[in-house]
Amino acid sequence: MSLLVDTIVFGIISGTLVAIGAVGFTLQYGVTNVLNLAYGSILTSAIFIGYLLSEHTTALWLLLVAGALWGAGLSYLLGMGLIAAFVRRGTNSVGIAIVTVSVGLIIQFGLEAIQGPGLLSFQSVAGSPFHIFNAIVSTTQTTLVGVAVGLMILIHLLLRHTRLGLAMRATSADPSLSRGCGISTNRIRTLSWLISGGLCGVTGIILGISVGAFQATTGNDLFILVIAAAIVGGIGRPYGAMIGGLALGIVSEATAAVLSPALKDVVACGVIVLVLVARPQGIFSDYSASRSVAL
Amino acid sequence: MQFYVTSVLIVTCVNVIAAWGLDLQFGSTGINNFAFIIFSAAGAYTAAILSLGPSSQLGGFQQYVGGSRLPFPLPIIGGVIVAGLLALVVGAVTMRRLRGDYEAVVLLVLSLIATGVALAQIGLLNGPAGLALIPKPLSSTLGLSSLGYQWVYLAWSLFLVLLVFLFLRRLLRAPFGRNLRAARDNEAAAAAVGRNVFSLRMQSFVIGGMIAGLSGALLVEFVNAWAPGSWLYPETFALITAIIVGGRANMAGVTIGTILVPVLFLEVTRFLPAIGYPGLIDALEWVVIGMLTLIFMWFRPQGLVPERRRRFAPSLHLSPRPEQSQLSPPIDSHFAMARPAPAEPVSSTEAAME
Amino acid sequence: MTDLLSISDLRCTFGGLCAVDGATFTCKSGQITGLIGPNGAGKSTVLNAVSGTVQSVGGSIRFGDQELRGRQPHQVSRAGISRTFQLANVFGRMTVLENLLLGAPPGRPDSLRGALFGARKWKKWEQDQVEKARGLLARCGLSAFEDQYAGELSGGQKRLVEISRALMSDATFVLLDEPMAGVNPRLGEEIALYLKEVVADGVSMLMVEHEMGVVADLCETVIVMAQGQVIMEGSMDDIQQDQGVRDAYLVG
Repeated sequence: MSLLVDTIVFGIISGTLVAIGAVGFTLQYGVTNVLNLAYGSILTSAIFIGYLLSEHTTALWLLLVAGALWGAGLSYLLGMGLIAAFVRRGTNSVGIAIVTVSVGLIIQFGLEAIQGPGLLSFQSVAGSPFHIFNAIVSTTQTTLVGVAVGLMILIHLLLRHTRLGLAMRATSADPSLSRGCGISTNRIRTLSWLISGGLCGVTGIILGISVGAFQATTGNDLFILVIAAAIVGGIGRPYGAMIGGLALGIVSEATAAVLSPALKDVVACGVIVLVLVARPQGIFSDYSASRSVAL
Repeated sequence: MQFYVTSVLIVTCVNVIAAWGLDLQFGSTGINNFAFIIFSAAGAYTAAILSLGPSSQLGGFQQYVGGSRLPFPLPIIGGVIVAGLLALVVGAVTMRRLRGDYEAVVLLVLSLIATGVALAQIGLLNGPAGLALIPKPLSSTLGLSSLGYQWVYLAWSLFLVLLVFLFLRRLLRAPFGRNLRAARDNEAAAAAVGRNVFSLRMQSFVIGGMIAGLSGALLVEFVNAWAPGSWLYPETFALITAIIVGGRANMAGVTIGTILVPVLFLEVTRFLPAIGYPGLIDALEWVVIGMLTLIFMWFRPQGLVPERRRRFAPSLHLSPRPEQSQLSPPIDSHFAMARPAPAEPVSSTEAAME
Repeated sequence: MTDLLSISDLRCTFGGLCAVDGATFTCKSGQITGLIGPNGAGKSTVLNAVSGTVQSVGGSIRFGDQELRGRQPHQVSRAGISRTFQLANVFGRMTVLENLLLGAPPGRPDSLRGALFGARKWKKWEQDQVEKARGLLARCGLSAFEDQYAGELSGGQKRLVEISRALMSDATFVLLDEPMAGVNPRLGEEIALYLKEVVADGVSMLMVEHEMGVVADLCETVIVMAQGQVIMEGSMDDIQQDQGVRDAYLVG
């Protein structure tokens, strides 16, 4: 019984983190059709920003907002600046993927060069521990889960109940038709980079606080699970990403509890491979990943 | 000094073989194999396991599966075969019709998964520590000094380079090479003219994978140790940068790119004074590789030596070939989207029709 | 003249939409059969179903004594049917000559095995193909463009390349999807002449086309489709006088 509780509790904690990261990634792909492979590195850079800030303040909200702003700004520069320039030039989707990977490498190794060897950690924003049955969680962890869930709810409200969200869904489904209906796709694209960048930044802060010690590769370690969740849920589908993230979180924790902690990543990855074999476009997708990069 | 030079040359051979393998897939067939390095790793691990002997033998401080002490050159052959089998399995899943960048991401994820699996401490491949004390092939039989051995190994590496070169050149010059390029350029048209695109991509993927395995096995028998740190995902990108810089789909361009990027870079930095902390130079190298890719993608995506146009010798018995119309400069690469057709040049067409 | 291609009760759906709803007609050998109809009638879908690009859900497609329904595009091509596309589908980044060489039916010489072990054989084979290709290029007047990248050609020239490529394979039947689309009238005349020559050599064709003048000029038999079904089959004169056909065009 306590094993089950542990699995669910820690599964939710890690799952919501992956989920919110995946939502950011997949939302932006859905609207702009660009697979931003620099996402993991931007995530890491947000952790570093949070770290710098944490030397002056430990107010969680401030760190989260700072991370969001940093992520949004950096993603905007990348998406509407560099990538847009390449797309205007006529670069195809693979070329863009290579561009984003290169940017990711520059950021990741740039951070490593600046940081030096060894790990860094945030000034502890540790909350007080409490028990859920026999699982020991800290209030910080629950707050962070709350933040992640809250953001997912906000995204849901945005997509379903605002005009902006409607415009985003329309652009995601059919960019030229949306343009024909008067939706300023340029504005929607800008907003999608900002929003996804913000989510990326927040994910980074949450990750940084959760893991304690971090280094330049930390963001990319999470990014594997983020892409996996996005793929499993159906690339471009935010709700699929949420479910994918939670599922992966719970599956990893279940593996750690039932089989062995060492196999955690292995089994989660096995699940991903299974999905890729059976249904590469994702569980919730209804079309294959076969459109071209829209301008 | 000689020791150093021979080492660099051997590493160059390894990289050139690997780059040619990736270029077969990426440059000639249009397969965006962002997971290339794992096939190299498969070859390396296999060669290592086949020459190390069972794990219990050495006092069990390395935990891994299998193990035998096979004589040269069986471990390398084993490496090539295993890498090919891995490519067969991975290809069966991924060579279906996935959009270019999505295929790249899927392969990238598989590459990251492979690293994750190898790192897991489950007695598979000795986890993060990797395998060490891999014996140098024929070292006892030859009984040379270590410098002497280096030269022999260099000769062996050059021999393999030559073998791969002749093999690939034969493959690519034949009509088969044209089929690969057709599958790269326009899948729908290729299928319409009777080519089985899936089969072509599989063949290219497996052969490329086997070549990757060869390069990995060659390297591991030289450096005698192999750990997950040697084959992280950025390694594939070092090779991709080499192909982009040098020029894809032509072996000369790729060779130049490989000499410039992984080799020159790596080795030039060895001569720089050790600034900062150990590892700083390595990190900066990657930053420069990233920037190099961006610069070339912007200014010269076709690379230093662009893919050349294929022409055919004039027919013997037909009348001399009519004056060729002004040939346009080489069309840009891989990375350009198809351009819309130019407007009908009515006057020149009429002239051609006369 | 024999019945070469027989479509019976063909049915194709996309999601919930029924694009072809029980189409039946026959193409005879030695001529160009026209396939016309208002937009959305299902003409291109029929072509796609025959070539295997699109999978049909019911009916039969008989070519000679073979059943083509359910086959993949490359299998249909090997059965002897070539096609052209609405948007000229050339290999833009390969030369015109290479484009034609790719029209040759695949076989041992251009396989992997052939590449590795049969060097002498494929060299001879390739030389023969090059001769044949140059011959076809001379016939349609594109010899000067042999080494030009196909993507650089005009729409009409690409069309000629495509048709020539379709002829390299010794196909006995060619599916033409709006061959005159985007081609200037002068070049269109050249294409029409070329097609006639080709038919005289024994190749049969099924042509989807909107240009009625072209259809009248080239097609002995014309099939009219509307809303997924065949509503008439006959000569161009008969069709032009039929009230049912006129109504279909007004409605569709």
